[in-house]
Amino acid sequence: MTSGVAVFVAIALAGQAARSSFVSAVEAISGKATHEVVATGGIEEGRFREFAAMPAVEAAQPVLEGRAMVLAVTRDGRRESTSVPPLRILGVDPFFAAPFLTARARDPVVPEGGLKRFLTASGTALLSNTWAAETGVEAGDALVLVVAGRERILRVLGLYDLSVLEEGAKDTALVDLATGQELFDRLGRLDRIELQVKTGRESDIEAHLVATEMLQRPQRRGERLARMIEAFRLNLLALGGLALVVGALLVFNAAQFMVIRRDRLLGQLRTLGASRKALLAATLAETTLFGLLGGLLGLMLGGLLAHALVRAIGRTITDLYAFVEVDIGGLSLGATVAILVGAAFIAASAGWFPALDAARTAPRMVGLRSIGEATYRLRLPLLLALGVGALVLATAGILLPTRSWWPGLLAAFALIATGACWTPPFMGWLLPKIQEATERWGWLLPPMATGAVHRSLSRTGGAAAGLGVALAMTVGVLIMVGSFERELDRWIDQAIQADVFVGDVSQRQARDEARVPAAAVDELRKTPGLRGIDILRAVEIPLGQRSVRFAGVEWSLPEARRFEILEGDPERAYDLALAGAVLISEPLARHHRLGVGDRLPVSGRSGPVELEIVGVFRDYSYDRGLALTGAGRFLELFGELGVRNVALYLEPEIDREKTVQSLRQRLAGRYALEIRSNGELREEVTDIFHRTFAVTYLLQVIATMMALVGIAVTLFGLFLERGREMATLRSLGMELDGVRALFALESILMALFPVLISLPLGAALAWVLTAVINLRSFGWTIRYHVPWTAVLGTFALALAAGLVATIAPMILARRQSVALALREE
Amino acid sequence: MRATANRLVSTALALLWVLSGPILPQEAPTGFSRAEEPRELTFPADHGSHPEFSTEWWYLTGSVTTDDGNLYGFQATWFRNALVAEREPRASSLAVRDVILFHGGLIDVERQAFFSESQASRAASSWAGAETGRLEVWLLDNRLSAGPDTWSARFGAGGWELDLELAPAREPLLHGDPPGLSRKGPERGQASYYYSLPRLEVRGSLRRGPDDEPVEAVGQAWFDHEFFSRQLAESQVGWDWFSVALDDGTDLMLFELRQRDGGRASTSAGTLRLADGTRRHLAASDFEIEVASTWRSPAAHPHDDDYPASWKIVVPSAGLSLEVEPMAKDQEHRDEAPGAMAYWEGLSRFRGRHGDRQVEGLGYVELVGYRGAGPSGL
Repeated sequence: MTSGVAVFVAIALAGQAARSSFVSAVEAISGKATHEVVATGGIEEGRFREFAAMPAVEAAQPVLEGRAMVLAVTRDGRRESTSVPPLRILGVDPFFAAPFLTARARDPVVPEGGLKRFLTASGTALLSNTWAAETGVEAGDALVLVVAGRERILRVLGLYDLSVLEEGAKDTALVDLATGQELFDRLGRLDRIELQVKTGRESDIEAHLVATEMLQRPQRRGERLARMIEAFRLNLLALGGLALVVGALLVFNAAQFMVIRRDRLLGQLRTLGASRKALLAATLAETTLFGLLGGLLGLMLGGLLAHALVRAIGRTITDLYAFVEVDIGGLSLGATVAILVGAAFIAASAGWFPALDAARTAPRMVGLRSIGEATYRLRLPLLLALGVGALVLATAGILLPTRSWWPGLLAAFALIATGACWTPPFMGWLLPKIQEATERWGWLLPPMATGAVHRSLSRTGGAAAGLGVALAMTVGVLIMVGSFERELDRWIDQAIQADVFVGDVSQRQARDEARVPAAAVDELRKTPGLRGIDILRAVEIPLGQRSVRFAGVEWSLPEARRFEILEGDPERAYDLALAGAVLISEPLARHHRLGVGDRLPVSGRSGPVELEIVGVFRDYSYDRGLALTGAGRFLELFGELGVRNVALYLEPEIDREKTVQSLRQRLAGRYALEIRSNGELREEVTDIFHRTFAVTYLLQVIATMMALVGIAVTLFGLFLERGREMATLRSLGMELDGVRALFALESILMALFPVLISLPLGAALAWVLTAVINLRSFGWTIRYHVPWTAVLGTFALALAAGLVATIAPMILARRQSVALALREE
Repeated sequence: MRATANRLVSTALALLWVLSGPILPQEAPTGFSRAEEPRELTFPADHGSHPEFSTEWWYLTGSVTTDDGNLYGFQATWFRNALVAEREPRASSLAVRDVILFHGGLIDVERQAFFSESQASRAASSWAGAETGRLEVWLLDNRLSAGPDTWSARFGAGGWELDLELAPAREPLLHGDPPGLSRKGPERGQASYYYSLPRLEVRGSLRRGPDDEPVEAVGQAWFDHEFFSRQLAESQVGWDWFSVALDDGTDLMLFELRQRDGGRASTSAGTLRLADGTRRHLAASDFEIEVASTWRSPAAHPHDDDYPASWKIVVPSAGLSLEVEPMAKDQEHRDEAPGAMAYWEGLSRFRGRHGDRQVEGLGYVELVGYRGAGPSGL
């Protein structure tokens, strides 16, 4: 119970933290804008006057935004390296910003004359007092930034009160628009024009847009991120929910065990005149308290776990989407109460049936387990039916033609429910068969062990179901990660072929602003021993309700096939794309239902065009989708927006490491470029991938731990309870070794059922995760691959846990005097 | 005499969420030319901008009558304020040197409704600017420019919009002594180059709301242009300014600078031009302005003064005596922003005697420094 609640709480907290910080980061900038005009490649700055002067516009403000990595801080002429988070650079126009602010400064710390410098001097900024306090940066310092592959200096004129913006945007450096244009080399351009449009006048604005421009709600920018977070959150919550289910099954078992174990006491109490109601109430109170305690402990553990999860999620999103800092908040009082109540309810309902049974039973009948077992077995058909129902639900979730992923998740849940429901009937059916068979073969202990497990099906069945589900989760996640890992390895092999990769050092922190300066590209072209060079330019273009990455590539070695062509003629597709058609990635094809022969609409600077799609390729780098065309077409469409990445292919006889070293030396000091060898880039991509799955790994560990602990605890309970039986056996002449063997056999049986169930269940779960949920949410296919070693290793661990659980009862069994144990009979 | 620019520009800058401290330097701006020597003003070149001076403004005040007989008064002001004399060379065309500020006011006399609007912008790109050598000053769509024969002005406030053609009818009227150099303070350089174009014939259209159809409008306007780098003395807290083109062909401009101690600065002055074109500089001793009544702004704070609300003006040596009544009590520009300054600028009727003749005319009055801190309290 504790662990189940802990996982659930952790996930709820982490998801909440991630979501709220993104929402606030988006709001901080958008403030009171109702709409914004954006354009591929930026908006021509003169357009601002036109939008601002429109009668339909209440207020307008021009905005430039970018990210920059902070390399060092210079104070009094001394330069010190630093590792502060990247800055969000917000280029604003003070004259038009006022109507958009959500709050006003309470305590400005702009020094006298500072504002004049802010407006007139290049490279000046105001930092938030919070950020400054956290990083130790003071007014008067200069920040050494990396922007577009070069070092730039930003002088800190003063600090602004963070209350001006919303929480979560403390990393925002305010600069004047002109400084922003200079910093990001976007002369003459704006990133967006934020508007307050009069109600119902959107059409006036739309009528005024030119081909490259788009009117959107400010949420759009944060939407993708928010959707991503939401997906993360729900995924995690679902996994957390599963953990809770497993926890509930375990606690159900434990509560039942508590009641049954004391059936004799209950019987005596009945004999002494306690009413049924009183007994029921006492039992329920006990199990509820038990659940509450478990829940409380879970809340505490969950808080701790949440921190780990939040870090993992933050890293992932930073890696994949945008830099973000996630602060963990507290769990609301309501949620805390809900969790506690839930835990108590589960525990109470677990105790309900056995308590009811015990209270109902006539005093003299108490203690005869067979009665309870008989009532329990009667419910097996119900369980079977429930399982069928769940299976139907699962099938529906899988077959539902939708691009939403939550029916898939529902299917996963339903599958698990099916597995859980069918486990006890399955055991009830199989155990007697084993018993018969082994008896026929004349064995002594196996039929005894099977019989024992079968007789206690009320507890062994529930326990096996819970453990089976826990193991199935582990197996499912193992297979999913294993499949993805293998697919990624293949993809890396194809995509990362060049020998040297060059990018802006800030490219991981300031993805969209990263550029390799043209002069550096020219120098790279002169690298000795160069066999070929790839040059990539990219821009985000709107497509439907989403945005996709549109890249222009210059590939001097067409024979190096960078991607696997899934659709289209692999021989000709590359050449056609380089000549001006497009290749699209699998996620793009799936999300937008496009394929070979269709046309991709692209709005370039001279209006919309439609490019022919000549191929679909496998890609895992952008879940939003990636379209590739030749550099010529790209430049014709968007003009020179700067080179994102350069890849070099060297002649076979050239020493790769030496080339990387000499390039680093040659370009150092002049450009802020990161030069990596093939191996280094592969390593990094693999690292990012592993970080993406950090949360999954963590959950996998938790699920495995829960499964193992569950097995151990359940078996331990079962054996303790059977002390009398053991004593009887020993009094009948069974050797201690025989008792041990019996215990061990039962353990293996008890661990075997979860294993048996988890294999098909886990495989099905993995299939739903990869082929249904993953495909729907990311749009990429993953070929199924079972990492047998890991799966079998988990099973071995489960069996070992079962055996370990027998040790203590065995020791007890040896110590216990036969006479004492029997006296009670 | 329209020295609101410093205040207004800094008001605009105060809108910056990040600041509220002193924005514009208190000390006299350095590196700019000063209005010290007499200057020969040549037109149309001097209608344009003079970036070598820190501050400059173009004022258009007037009244129009629409087809349906309604009377409207309007004010449109473009201020230019240089933040620095020399700016380091910058790559961005949005880099700031000058700030343009537009203030618009419209009084609907019949409905007694006043609308005002203000907006500042950097002088950059197509957003705002002031051309040199010719009249062209604009902020977004609020624009005043000179064509070969007529001028055009287009501006709006609070949903209304005026689109006007302006025809200069008389020679520019130079203020000050010597003509064109208008002294404001006791020190050298505390002065401006200042001239007006009274009696611009106005023809155009007025739109009362964003969804209204434009209606024909005809009337008359007064144009003021002034540039300088340092003007008011420390001891001055505000001013009252009057301009009117009377129906006998007389043009009159007067300003009275008020001292912190409540007195009247000796540099208060005016200009009188008769129908025959005879121009006369009026020194402080040449005229008297007597306040006949007062009006309190509904937005006034306890420490604010009341505005004067009607006057009696006498220029004894010219035989001129006028009573001045605003066409509406409330023609106050109120800016909600903290630190912003309110001022009153309104259409007023001037009526009285010039020699032995009854005279009358619609003119404008500007009252600055009655609410909030004085000009030096920035």
